[in-house]
Amino acid sequence: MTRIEDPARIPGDVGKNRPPSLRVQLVLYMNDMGSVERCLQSVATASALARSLGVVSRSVLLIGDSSEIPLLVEPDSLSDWLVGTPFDSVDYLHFGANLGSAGGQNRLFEGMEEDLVLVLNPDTYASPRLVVELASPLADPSIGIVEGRQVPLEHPKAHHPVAGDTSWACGACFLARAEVIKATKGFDTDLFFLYGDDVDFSWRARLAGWRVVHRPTARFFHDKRLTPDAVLEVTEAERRYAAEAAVLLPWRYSRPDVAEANLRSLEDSGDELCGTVAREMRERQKKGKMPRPLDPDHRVAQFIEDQFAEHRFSYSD
Amino acid sequence: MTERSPSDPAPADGEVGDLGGSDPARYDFAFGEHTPYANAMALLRAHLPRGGEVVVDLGCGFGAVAEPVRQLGLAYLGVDSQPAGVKDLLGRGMEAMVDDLSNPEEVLADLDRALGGRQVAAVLMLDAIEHLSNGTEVLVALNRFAARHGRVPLVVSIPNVTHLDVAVKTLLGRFEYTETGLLDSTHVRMFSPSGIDRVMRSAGWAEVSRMDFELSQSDQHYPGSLVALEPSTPLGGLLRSIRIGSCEGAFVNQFVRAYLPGPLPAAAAEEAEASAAADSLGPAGGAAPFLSVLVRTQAKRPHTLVETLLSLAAQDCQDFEVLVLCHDVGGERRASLEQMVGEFHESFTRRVRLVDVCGGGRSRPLNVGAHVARGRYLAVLDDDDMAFGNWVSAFRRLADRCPGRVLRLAVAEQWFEERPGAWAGQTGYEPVDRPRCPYPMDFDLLDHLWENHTPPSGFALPRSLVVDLGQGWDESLPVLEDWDLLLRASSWCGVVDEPIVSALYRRWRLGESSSTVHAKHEWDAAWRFIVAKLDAAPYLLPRGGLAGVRNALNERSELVGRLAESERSREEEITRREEEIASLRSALHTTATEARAQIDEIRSSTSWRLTAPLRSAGKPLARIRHRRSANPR
Repeated sequence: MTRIEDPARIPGDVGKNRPPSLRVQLVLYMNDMGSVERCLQSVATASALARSLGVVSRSVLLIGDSSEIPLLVEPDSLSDWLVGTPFDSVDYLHFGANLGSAGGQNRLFEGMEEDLVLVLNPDTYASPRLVVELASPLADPSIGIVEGRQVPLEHPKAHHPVAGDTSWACGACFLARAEVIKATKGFDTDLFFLYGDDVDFSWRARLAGWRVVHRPTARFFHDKRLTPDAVLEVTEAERRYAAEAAVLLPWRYSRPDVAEANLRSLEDSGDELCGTVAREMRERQKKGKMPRPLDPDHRVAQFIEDQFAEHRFSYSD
Repeated sequence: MTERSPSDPAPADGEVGDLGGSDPARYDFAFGEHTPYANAMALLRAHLPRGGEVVVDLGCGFGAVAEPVRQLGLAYLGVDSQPAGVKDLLGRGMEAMVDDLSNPEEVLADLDRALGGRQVAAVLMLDAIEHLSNGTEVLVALNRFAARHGRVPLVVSIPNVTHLDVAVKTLLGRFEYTETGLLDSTHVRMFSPSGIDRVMRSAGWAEVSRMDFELSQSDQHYPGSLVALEPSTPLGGLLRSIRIGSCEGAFVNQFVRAYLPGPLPAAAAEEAEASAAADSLGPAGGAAPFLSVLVRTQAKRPHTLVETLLSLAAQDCQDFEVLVLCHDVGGERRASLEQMVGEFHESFTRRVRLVDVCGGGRSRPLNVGAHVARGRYLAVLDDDDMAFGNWVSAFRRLADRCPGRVLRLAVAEQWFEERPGAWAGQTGYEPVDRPRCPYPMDFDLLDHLWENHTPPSGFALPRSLVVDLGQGWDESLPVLEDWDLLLRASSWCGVVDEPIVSALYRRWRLGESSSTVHAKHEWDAAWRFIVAKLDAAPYLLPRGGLAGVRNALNERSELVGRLAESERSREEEITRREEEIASLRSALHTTATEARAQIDEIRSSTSWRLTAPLRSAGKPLARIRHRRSANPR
C-alpha cells in the first residue's frame, strides 16, 4: 500500500462534538484513467464542500486497484494530486488480483477508523453537494445507509416519497456509518463478486436494525448508456453475476421457492451463459454449499417480479 | 468616386471597363438628391457643432458638395492633389488648395495656415480614403486635428467592395475594374463592412451615425446575361440569400457615416484586434474548444440544471465550454446560479461562463450565446436535459469525420412527474416510465421536412453557420425554432449522423415545458411560417438528396398504383355483386311470373271453381281463431 499523508491536516485532539470523519473508497479495475481522474476530482470537490460546511471533519481517500497491472504506476503523483484536495491522506492499494467490487471494498474497509464511509464506483462523477446531501439523513440515528440518486438513468427501485426508505442501497454510491460496516462485516465475498452484494449488504444491515434510505438530492452521474432500443447496456460479467444473484439471494433470504423458480428459468432460457450459471448452482446445491438462510420471517427481503424491491418502472418492456 | 453619372453607361456585355488613365474630369460629379452626397450632407447637418465656420473637404475632387455646404452658411475649403478640381472650385468662388495627403501632417499644417484661426465645423472625406495607400495614417492624423479643433465630426463616403454584384461576379471569376464606380481602377484599398469598422476604430474614430447609400443594382450589375446576377433565378436567389444573411451591406454602395474623434486605442489592443480579425472563429489568446454547449435557463429549475451541468462535467471528452444563458435572471436567482456553477471542480468551472440575456423569446439566449461562444461547433442542452457520457465525444468523432456538417445523434426521452413537497418540503420529481427512443436513429432530411424528428440536444451546428452566414435561431418563432434552424442548416451544411443514444430529453407530465405552455394554434402557425420561409428561397438538397426525393416519389407512385389497383378491384367486385343482384332479381322475377301464372292457372281450373263454397264456409271459423290468438294471456 502506498500512503500519502498531509500531517498538518490530521487533527490532534478531536472534541466530542466534532463532525464525523469521512473515508471515501473506490475500487478500480481496468478503468480509463481520464474517467478516474474526473471521478477523483469530483469527490474531492464534494468532500471539500462538506468539510467547509462543517458536515465532516477529517477525510481520507482509499483507492483499491484490482487490475492486473497497477493503473497508478507512479504513486508519487498522488502526492502532487493531494495538494489542493480536502483529503488528509490518500491510500493506493494494488491488490495484485481481481477481488471484484465486493472483495475490493472489503479489503479497503479493513482498519477503518473513520465514522462514515462513502462507497463510490470509479465510473461516476459526484455532484458538488453529494457528501453534504448523503450525510444529511444520518442526523436520524435509525438510518444506517444513505443511497445517492444516479443520473442520467435513475435506478428504477422505489423508495418512500418523503422518508426515502428503500429496500436496498445501490453499491454505485452510498454513505454508511462505520457501525454498519462493523455489524455486517461489509460485503459477503463468499457469495458475491460483482452483483447482488449491495442488496445482501443492505438487507443484513436492515436485519441488524438500520434503515436504508434513498436521498434524491444526493446526485451523482453514473456512466450508463442505452442501446438504440433504449435498453441498458450490460456487460457479460454483469449478466453472469446477475444470474447468480437471482438464485443466491432468494436462497439466503429463506425463499427457496423463488430460488428454485429462478434456477429453472435459467435452465430453460436456452442462453449459454445462463445455462452455465444454472449448472454451477445445481452443483453448489448438491455439495451443500448454498448459503445459510436468513430472514425466516421475510422482514426485509423482497422478491417482486425478478427484482429485489418494488420498481417504479422497468428498463425492459 | 463610385457613383455613375447618367451619361456614363455601364460597359456592354463582354467589355472590360477602361482601366483609368489620368483624366481627373471623370470625377466631376454633380450633387443630386438621391446620391451619396445627399446622405453625407444630411449627416453633416445632423452633427454640426455650434460655432463652426469652415467645412474642410479632403480629397475634394471637383467639390460636388461645395455649394450645399455654402448654403448652410458655412465656408468650404477643398483640398485635393489634382489641380483640375481645385482650379474648378476656385473658379466657382470656393476656397481650395492643391495638397498631397501622402504626408498628412504637412497637409494638416497647411490647413491650419489656410484656416487662419477660423473654427472648423467638420471634415469631409468623400470617396477619398480608398484612393490612399496611407489611409489609416491619414485618419490618425485627422483624429488629432479634429480633436485639436474641438472634437469636430468626420463624415466619410467609402465604396463597399462586398456589394452583392461584386460578390456574385467575383464568385464567377469576374473582377472587373472600371473607370469609376465600386471597382474604380485607381482604388488602392477596398473596404468591407467589418473592414471599415476596424480601420476607423484603429484610428480612434467612434461612429455616431450612418446613412449608407444603397443600390440594389450597382454599376457592377453587368452584363445582364449573367444568370447568377438575376434575383428571379434560383441560383441568383440563392446567392442573394447567402450574401444577405451572411453580413450587412449586401446592397450598400457607399458607406456614408459620421464619426467623432476619440482616444487612440493602445497598440496592444490593436494587435489583439488584428489577431481576432484574422480568425473570425477564435478570440484572441487560447485555443478555441471543439464545442460550445449552450444551456439556456430562466433559473426556474435549479434542481434539473445542476443535473445538466453534472452530466457535462462527467463527459469523457472535455474539449468543450459551457455557456449558461441566464435569460431574464436577476437578483438572488442569478447569485444562486453563480454559486451552483462555482461549486463544481475548477477543471469544469473554468470552462463555464454565465451570460446574461435580457428580453426576447426562447431563441434570444441561443443567438446571444452563439455570438459570444468560442467553439467550432454549437450544441444546445436545455436546463432539464442530460447528456450521456459520450455526448461530446460522439459529436467530436462525427466532426472529425465530416468537418462542417451538422452533427446528429440519437436522443432518448423519458417521462417525469413532479412530486410537490417530496424533497425536504420542496418540489421533487421522478421518472414514471423507462426511457424510450421514439426518434429515428438515422437522419432523413425528407422525413424532417415533414416533421421534426430531432430534439435540440440531438444535433450540433458549425458555429460558422450562425456567425458567418447569419443562420441563427429565428426569434420571431415561439416554438419549433430548433426545427427551423435544423432544416436550414441541413440544407447548407449537410448532416453526418451516428445511431447512438447520446442524451436524455425529459418530458414532463405536469409542470412547464414548451409543449404545455404553447397552444396548438401556435404550433400550427409556426409550422406554416417555417415552411413559407423555407419556400421563399431555393432549398439545397445534400448529395444523394435527389435520389431520396426520387425514392419518395417512387414510393408514392407505388402507393398510388396500389391504391388504384385496390380501387379497381373494389369496383370490379361491386360490379360483380351488382350483376349477381341483377341476375338474382331477374331469376326472382321469372319465378314470380311463373308462380303468378301457375296461380292464375289454378284459379281458372275447374276444381278451384267447384271447391269455392267450401272455402267460404271456413272463413268465420278462421276469424274466431284469429281473435283468440290476438288476446294476451
